[in-house]
Amino acid sequence: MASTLGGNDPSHDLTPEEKDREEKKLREEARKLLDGKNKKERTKKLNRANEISREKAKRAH
Amino acid sequence: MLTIQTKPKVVAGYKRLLLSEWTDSLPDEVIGLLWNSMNHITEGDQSLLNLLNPASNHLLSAERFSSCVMRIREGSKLIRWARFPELPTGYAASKKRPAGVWHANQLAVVLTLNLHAEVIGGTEFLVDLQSLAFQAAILFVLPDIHDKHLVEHAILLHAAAQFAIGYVSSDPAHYSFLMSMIHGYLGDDEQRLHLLETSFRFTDPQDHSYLTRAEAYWMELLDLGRKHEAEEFLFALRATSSPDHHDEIRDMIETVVQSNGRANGSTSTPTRKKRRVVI
Repeated sequence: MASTLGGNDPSHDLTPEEKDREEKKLREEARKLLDGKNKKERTKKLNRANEISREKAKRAH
Repeated sequence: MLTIQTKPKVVAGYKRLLLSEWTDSLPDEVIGLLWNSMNHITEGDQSLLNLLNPASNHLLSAERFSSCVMRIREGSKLIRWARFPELPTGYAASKKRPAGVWHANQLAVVLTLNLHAEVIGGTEFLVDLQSLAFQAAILFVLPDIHDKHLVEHAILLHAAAQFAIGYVSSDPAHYSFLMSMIHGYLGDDEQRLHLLETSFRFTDPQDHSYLTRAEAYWMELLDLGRKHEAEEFLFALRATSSPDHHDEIRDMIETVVQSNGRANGSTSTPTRKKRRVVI
């Protein structure tokens, strides 16, 4: 049984709406950390956003 | 032979990790997920299972891990990056090790699992777990062992790079993003910036990660004190992106304009008075 979690399998993957919502939230949080000495936390948020969308389906329109 | 099974409980655990804040428990959680996804009946390699068992109480088969290191070393012969540490030729693992080293050893095996065993079943799910293992290695384990355990640090770093290289042909944007993390960890800021730009350029504007990779790039420009370039990049991005991205890009531009020129706050340049950007 091959999983495509992280791919295009709708039964395992996050929905396109979830991905967009989560990624946008993480980008906003990263921007709020811009002026502080929080590069590690900021980077962690963008890494997680990138991981959420890794090899995912195209954005829903 | 290892069989990966995509059990509902493990899939739910994976989603939970993706959607939650990553803390220093991430290494344990990833290793636990992988363990729970495996069919523990192997053919002839119980020692490899012992390496991956979260409950093995930091005791492992030193000989088995040493043979894993030999394979990782073979795979690393193609890696020629200046800042990468050399791997030892005659590495002999010790049986008892502190938690940080234990995590490093386990993650090195997880990231290169296909070198050490035939893996069948949910191999794509394995890649998803390995991807989280990569994050756990870079964000938590490598910084933890850097000062006192140089050899184990080097082994994990090489294993992480080999995992990233697996994406070169299938997803060059993701490969570049992962390598930017490695070079950022190593302190090579210019190479990190170059890789973040490459990752963005390889990304389809319709991809979910388009704005995320754009943001990673302009924030790195700002970290390097290149505010003007960050502004130029964002204005060009807005000009070429789809209308549904415009509001967020405007927010990015405002953030850059209102910043004091360096994202990490290390500049002595006084903060400008906030002003509204009209686009």
